Amino acid sequence: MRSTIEKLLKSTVARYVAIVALPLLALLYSPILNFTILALGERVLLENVPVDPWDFLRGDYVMLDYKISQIPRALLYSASGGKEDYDYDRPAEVYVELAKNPSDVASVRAVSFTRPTDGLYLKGRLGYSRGESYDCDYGLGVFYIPEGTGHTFENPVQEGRVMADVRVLMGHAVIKNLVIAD
Amino acid sequence: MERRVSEVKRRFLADESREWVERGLISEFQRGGILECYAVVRRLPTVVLTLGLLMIGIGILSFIAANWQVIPDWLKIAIIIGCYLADVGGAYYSETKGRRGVSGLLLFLSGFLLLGALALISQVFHVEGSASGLLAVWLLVYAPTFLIVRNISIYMLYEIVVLVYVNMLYFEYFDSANRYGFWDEFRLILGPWQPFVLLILLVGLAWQVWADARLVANVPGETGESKIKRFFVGGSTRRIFLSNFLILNWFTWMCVLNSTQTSFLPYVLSVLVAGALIGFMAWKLDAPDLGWQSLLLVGASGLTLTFPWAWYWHDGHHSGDGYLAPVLSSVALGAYLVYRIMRRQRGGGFSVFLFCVLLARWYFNMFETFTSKSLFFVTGGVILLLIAFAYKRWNKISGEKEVSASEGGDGDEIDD
Repeated sequence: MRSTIEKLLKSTVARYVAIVALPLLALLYSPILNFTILALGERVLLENVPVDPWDFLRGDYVMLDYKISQIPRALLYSASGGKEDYDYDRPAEVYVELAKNPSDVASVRAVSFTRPTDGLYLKGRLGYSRGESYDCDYGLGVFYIPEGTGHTFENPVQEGRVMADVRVLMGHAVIKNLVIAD
Repeated sequence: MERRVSEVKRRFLADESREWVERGLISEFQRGGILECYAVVRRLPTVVLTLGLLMIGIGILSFIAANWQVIPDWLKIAIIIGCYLADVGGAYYSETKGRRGVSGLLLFLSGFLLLGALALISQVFHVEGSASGLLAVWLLVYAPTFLIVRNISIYMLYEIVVLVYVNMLYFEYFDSANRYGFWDEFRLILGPWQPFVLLILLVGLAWQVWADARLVANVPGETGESKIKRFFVGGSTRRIFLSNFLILNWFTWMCVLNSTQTSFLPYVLSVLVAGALIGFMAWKLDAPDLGWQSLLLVGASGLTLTFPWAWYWHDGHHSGDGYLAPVLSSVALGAYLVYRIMRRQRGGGFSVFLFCVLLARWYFNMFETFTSKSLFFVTGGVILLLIAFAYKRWNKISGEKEVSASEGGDGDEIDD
């Protein structure tokens, strides 16, 4: 086994294929997944609550916190069959079923610990308790913007007038754009 | 035609040849002739150059990243992946042409490109990821390059990222607001798949230990002490990496599992003690490579102590007065590094690098919020390059003085 690997690695082409294969897979995985969601996903608008920004390497960004990130305790209580302490099972993955109004703005309809078979839902990770609700992280907390343009979003974000235009497919979501409400 | 050698080799030759003259093997005239055949090459400290160029690179990269909204997403991805493939393709071409040095350099650069590419692709899709997650992916996908290519720069880059990654996990653990138990928190921080990265790393490293242990066992007539020395010091860079990795993590695990404090301080101090112990071993075993490791650990923990959060004790109380402890730590570390540089000890280039990081740490602290990011990085890079040139100049002048004092002025020098 070891000598076979050593023989294989003596070939320059084989060595470079081994070097480049994993990085290429990692670099292509995210674009393929996200382009698919953007192309085939369902449109949803997510309302925001105020917050703010800067990423060391990747540029300026708007930090987003959604209304649907607060999951009422009562919904979790019924989803878990009356179990009280959700922290005990952390990190708990939850599936948040969404309902859309005529303007495509989404709200939480139900929560489940198993993947729903159909309908509009988002996969999230349950966080800490905030009184009568629990934090839920969907990995949609940042939106990158051109350097020095943060002021465009500063007031709308603080006033909670920004909505994320999101595409959702099979529980995964990608932010397509930010929409500023009048 | 003179042969170009490093200052260390030239000094060794001068010492050895003096011994030969004393033993009557060669005459003083012959010694002079031999020494004249070798010219000292003084290089800029590579690591400082790399850091300076890297900061300029990050500045340019972040400028592009922040201002390329006009380019369609698919084209951004193509440019990012294209840059990486062009770099690895260049390495392949160089290797087929027999230029292994250039190929190694390009593969080393591919590590940075890969890290930047992963970060930029996640930016294109507004993915909110953790820094430890990014490093875990990088460690996984860059592992074949690390294992296949025997290049000291790649090895060093990988070692540093492993140490940063493991320490980042500990810091995230300490940073979490409500600890339920180490393993629960470990799962929470890592997610379901990151432990596999650690597992792959550990299996790969264990394999190296086994191979090295067999190598040690197969040397006939060797004493126990020299076996230990060979095992810890050896010639294999991966073994050095391993001993470093294991010693550091033994200390940190002991510290984490036994500490009831919600503080970084015991952890950071344990790394400092580990560095000091390795330094003691370096002195006791006369092993310069261990001295280098010691410098790495003392430098890393010393730099950590320059941050106020490293000094917080349990219940959020500060063990010192605001910036007093960090400033004192900076002064102590700076003095230690300057002492090493002035004494011209082995690893002088790395001491300069750590000194630059120390300066960069305060540069970040003071100017990061006042300037635009691209200007900030480019200015920082230029300052580091200036320090590198100043070090080279000082090294040349002091080296000339020493050579002329001890050798009567023999030994030409070449700038590279």
